[in-house]
Parts: sequence; C-alpha cells; structure tokens
Amino acid sequence: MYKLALCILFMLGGGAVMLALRHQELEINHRIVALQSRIQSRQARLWNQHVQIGIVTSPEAVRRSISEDMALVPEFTLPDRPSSQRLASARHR
Amino acid sequence: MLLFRTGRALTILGVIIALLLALMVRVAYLQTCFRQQHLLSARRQTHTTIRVVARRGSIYDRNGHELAGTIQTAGVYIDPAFMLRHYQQNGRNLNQMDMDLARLATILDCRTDDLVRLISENAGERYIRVAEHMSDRVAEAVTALNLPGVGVEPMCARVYPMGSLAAHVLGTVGADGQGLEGVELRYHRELAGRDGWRRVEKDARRRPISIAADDFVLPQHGGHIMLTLDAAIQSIVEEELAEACRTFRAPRGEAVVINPHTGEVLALANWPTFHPQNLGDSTAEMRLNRSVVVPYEPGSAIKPFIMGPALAWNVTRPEELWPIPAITYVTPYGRRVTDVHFYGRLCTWDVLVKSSNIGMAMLSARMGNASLHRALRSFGFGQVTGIELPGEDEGRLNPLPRWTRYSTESVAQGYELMVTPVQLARAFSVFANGGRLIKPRIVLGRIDARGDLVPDPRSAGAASSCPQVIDEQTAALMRRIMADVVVRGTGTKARSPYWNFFGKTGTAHVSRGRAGYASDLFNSTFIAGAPLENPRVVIAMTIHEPDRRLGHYGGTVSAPAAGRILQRTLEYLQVPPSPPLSMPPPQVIAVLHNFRAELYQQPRASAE
Repeated sequence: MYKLALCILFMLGGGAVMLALRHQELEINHRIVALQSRIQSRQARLWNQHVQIGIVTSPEAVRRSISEDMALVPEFTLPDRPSSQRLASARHR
Repeated sequence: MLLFRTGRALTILGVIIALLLALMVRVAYLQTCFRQQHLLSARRQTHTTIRVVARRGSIYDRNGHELAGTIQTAGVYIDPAFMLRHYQQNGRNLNQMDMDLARLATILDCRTDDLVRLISENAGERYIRVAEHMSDRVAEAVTALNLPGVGVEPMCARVYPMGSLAAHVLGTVGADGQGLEGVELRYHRELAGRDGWRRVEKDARRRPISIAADDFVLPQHGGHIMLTLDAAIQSIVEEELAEACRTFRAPRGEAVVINPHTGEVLALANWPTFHPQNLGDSTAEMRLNRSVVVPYEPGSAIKPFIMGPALAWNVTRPEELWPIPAITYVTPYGRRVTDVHFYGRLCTWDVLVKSSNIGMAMLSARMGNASLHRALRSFGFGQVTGIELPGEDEGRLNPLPRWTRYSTESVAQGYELMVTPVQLARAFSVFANGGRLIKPRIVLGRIDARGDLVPDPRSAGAASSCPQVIDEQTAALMRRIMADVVVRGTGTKARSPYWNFFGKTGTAHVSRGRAGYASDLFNSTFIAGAPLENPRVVIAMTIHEPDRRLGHYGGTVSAPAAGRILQRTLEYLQVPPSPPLSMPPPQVIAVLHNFRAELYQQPRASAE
C-alpha cells in the first residue's frame, strides 16, 4: 500500500514538473511570438517614417529647386564659338 | 489488515481492460476512419495561419526623391460565427455583444447599428473586414478591447509623397495591391514582392502562443525602382502645361522632355492629371497616358523629318529657291495646298522657317513617295519606341503600297500619319544628338539591398549602338535652320534671352474620322531642343483643341509654354548661357525672305 502511495506521489510530482516545463516552453514561445510581432511592427513603423520623411521633405526640396528667384543661371558667358555657321558652311563647300 | 480477494481483483482488472479496449477502439477509429479530416480539424482548432505582408517597393526619381512608397496600416476584421457562438455559449447574451460592438464602433468611428447588422447578416461567415487603413493608435485600442472574434491585421497602403506629380508615369495600384497602370503595372512583379506566412499555435481565445521554426516563411519585400524622371523638371513641365491648357481653354495637352543623347525621359506629363491615391476623383479618360498611348496628326511638326533626309540625300540645298506662285497652289493633279501667308519665292531654308506647305509639297513631290516613306520610317514613325510603359501605340504610318498620289502633299503637311509625343521627342532627338535614333527609357534601374543602382538590362543600351538616321553635318545644319524658326520664323514666342533654341511648330486640324476634318478644332504642337551648341534637352509639346478665339497655331499656343519649360529646365540644370546666335551662311542670307540682321542681336527684344 505504501509502495502504491509512493508511486502515485512520484507520478504526481513528475507530472507537475512536466506541466511546469510545458508551461515554461509555452511561455517562452509566446514571448518569442510577441517579440517577433514587435520587430515587425517596428520595421513597419520605420518604413512609415521613411515615407513620411519623403512626404514632408521631397515636395519642398523640389519646390526650392525650381523656384525662379534662385538665379541658377551662371553669370559668365562662354567664348563666342559660331560652330553652327562653320558646320553650315562646310556642308555647302 | 487488507485481504486479497480474487473476485474483486478480477472485477477491477476487467474494468481496466474494458477501459483500455475502449481507448484502443477510439484510437483505432481516429487513426483509420476520417483520419485526415480529424487531423485537419485538430490543426484548425489549435493553429492559425497569419499572413506576413510583403511591402511593395518604392519608386524614386533620378535624384532619389520618393515618388511612390508603401506604408503599413491596420485592418480590423470580425469572425461573426465565432463571435456569436462565444457570446451564446459562455453564459453571456447578445445584449452584451451589442454593448461590446458599441465600444468597437466608437473606436472605429462608425455606427453601432451598421456593425450589428453586418454581423447578423453574415452570421455564418468566418471573416469580414470592417475597417481598413487604421492608424497604430486605433489598432492598439481595438486590440486592448480584447473582444472575441475581433482581430487586427496588418495591411499595406500605397502613398504618393509628391501627390499627383508624374501620375501618368507612375500609374496606380488597386485595392488588392495589383498594379493597374504605368510603371506600377509594367514593373508589378519587381515591385510587389511575395507575402510570407507563419502558422502559430493558439489558445482558446485564438491568441497566438507559440510558433515552430518550420512554420515561418519570411516575406520577400518588393524591390525599389529608380526612374529617369527628374521631379523638378517634371514639376516645371506639369505647371507650364496646365497653365497653357488653362490659358487657351484646351481640354487636354501633353509634354515630354527627353535627354537626346541617352534617351532618358526627364519629364512626361499629361493634362488633365489625377491623384493616384484618389482614383474615385478621376475618370479612365483622365488616367490615360496620352503621351504614349494616343497618337494624333502632327501637322507641320513633321516637316523637319522630311527636310532632314532631303538635305542628307542631296535632294535639295538650303539656298535653293522654290517658286511659290500664290497663297494657294494647285498640284498637277488638282490638289489644293494653301499657305498662311504669301511669300513669293522661298529658299529651302525658309520653307522650314516659315513652315510653307507649298514649298514642302514641292519638295516632297521631288522626293517621291518611296523616299518620303523611307525618311519617315527611319525616324521611327509607325513603330513603338520601346519605352517601358504599358500600352504604347505605334502611331500610324501607312505601308507604302497604300499611299496614293495625294499622300505626297498630305504627309508633307503632317496629315495621313499619326504620332505620339514620345515618338516626336525621340525623332527630334536625332537632330540634337548628331543623327542617332535613340531608344527612350523611363527606368534607370533597380536599387539593390545595399542601396546601389543596378541598371535595367531591358532598357540600358549604348547610345552609340543606335541607328544613324542622318549624318552629323546634316543634323547640325537642321539645328541651325530650326534655330531660325525661333528667331524669325513661326516659333518666335519660344525665344529665350539666354539660350539659343531650335524648334518647329505644327498646327493640324483635328480629324473626325469619316466625317473629315473639323474646321475649328486644332492640335497645336511645338518640338524643340536646347541649347543649340550642345543640346541637353528636347521637348515635344502638344495642346489639343485650344479655343480658336484665343489662338490655335503651334507657335501661339504651345511654343511660349515649351520655351518657358526649356528655359526653366536649363536654369535648373545650370547650363551656361549660349553665345550669340551666328548668322546663316552668306549664300543663304542672299536668298532669305525679308532678312533682318538685327533680329539676331536683340534676342530679348524680339522675344518680347
């Protein structure tokens, strides 16, 4: 009888340990899933911020590039080089 | 003291054996009959498959400005069957469900009645999406509610940071992420990527609790594409095109700016335009990329492509005089050809500068149909250019056997053939780059994982390998003749005080098919390149059906806008100003019509 009780006790103990281990495994897996979701959401947030930066900066950068008051035309001029006349004359020699 | 009794022991043994037998029978049943269904059912109960969305790649202009990008948003879905069962089985009632749905409706900013009706009407369904493109804040609030059968899933939304800029080039993306038009359609496979998935074990409330390594397939995110477009030049072109269309009350217009040496399209615009994100605000007609898809008769803008080969093949010389008998000329077989003004005698140089239909008709008659057809074919008319945009039209250039004797004069004036603006820009580039027929391209390449540009093998090609249409000297001569178009010809309104332009105007009646030509509707075209000395850009611009009371000639409607585009583009590209334009050769000056030397010395005054 004592042997039977001892057996049952050990089996219960073993079962409890197994359950605890299983619980721990599930707990760790759950944390892995949560971590993975967080990584993905951070990655998505990074993409979103990248696009947001584009939305905020690109139109303004382009607007500045083409604004007429930038005076992009250089002040100097090239030396006179009437290449077109030379070519046109060469053709009719 | 306990006594061992055989009868009782046998009874217990019998019960245990019976239980074991029952267990074995059950196991045998589960393992043999309907095994697959049972396995599937078990997996469904304990596992769920979650899609991991792949992000669609971005599209950039040549300077790295993002033209199209993807953001990740959240969608909210409901499993009505699960939800109803949960509330009915767990001792709660449907009133409790309605109260929970009211809380959900408040977060989603919708009506509770709509949600309740949606669920009752789809009681047997397992998936209904009730909200799309929610922010992170809303998604977190929905998750915090922790309602049974309500879930949040990631979804992607296409955004266009530059708004409607280059909308016709970029195209659109449908609700399912499928590219519908433009680059989005043509490069859908490269941009889309491939979704991943993960199969997770779930608890009784359907929350994911674990995942096995084998049950996780990573998504393959879409690649990024860099276009040849320059957002700044594109902005200039769209602005000026819209302004010109509004000024002349034209229903539509197109403009293409191209690098004549490489074929890179720097800007491609259509008006009216649309916002790719708000498809509901536009019609299919507005979304049509007419610069590539819809050909039209170019009118006098076709003349350089006849005169160029005529000079190259020594059919005529610039100083050759053509006797223009009157403002209307009747061909030997009775065809009437009319000029806008009467000039008397005109030299070949001035036939192009003044855009004389009669002079061109005489020149074309001398060339003959076969040479005319060969000349136009060599400039790529009647063939697709190969630009990487969907639905490109090849235009119309009838096969030579279908040409009649009337075709000679019709084609010389830009009728009986149809071209697209992209074809015009490509053909005009021949004069700008020394005689080569380049292939226009809109995609520079892909951006690899390290951020480096990988040229697109489909579009990259050496410019030197392009066919030589006319020799370099003839190309230079044509440029010089067409510089006079802007100084003393039909395109003076395009003239710049800083740079020398060369160009050609075109005005054509609009065809009404079998009903003939509309007498009061015109297509007004201007094609040009700049600067004359070393052309950096070529533009083809067409305004369709301007209000005739305000103007209808290409030189009046399109040339001023095209001139402004060229000038602003050269400013942006920081191209040094041109030297003063040289006079035509003396032998040509001797025969020019109404020649005034001061026009070459006062560009600003004459431009005004």
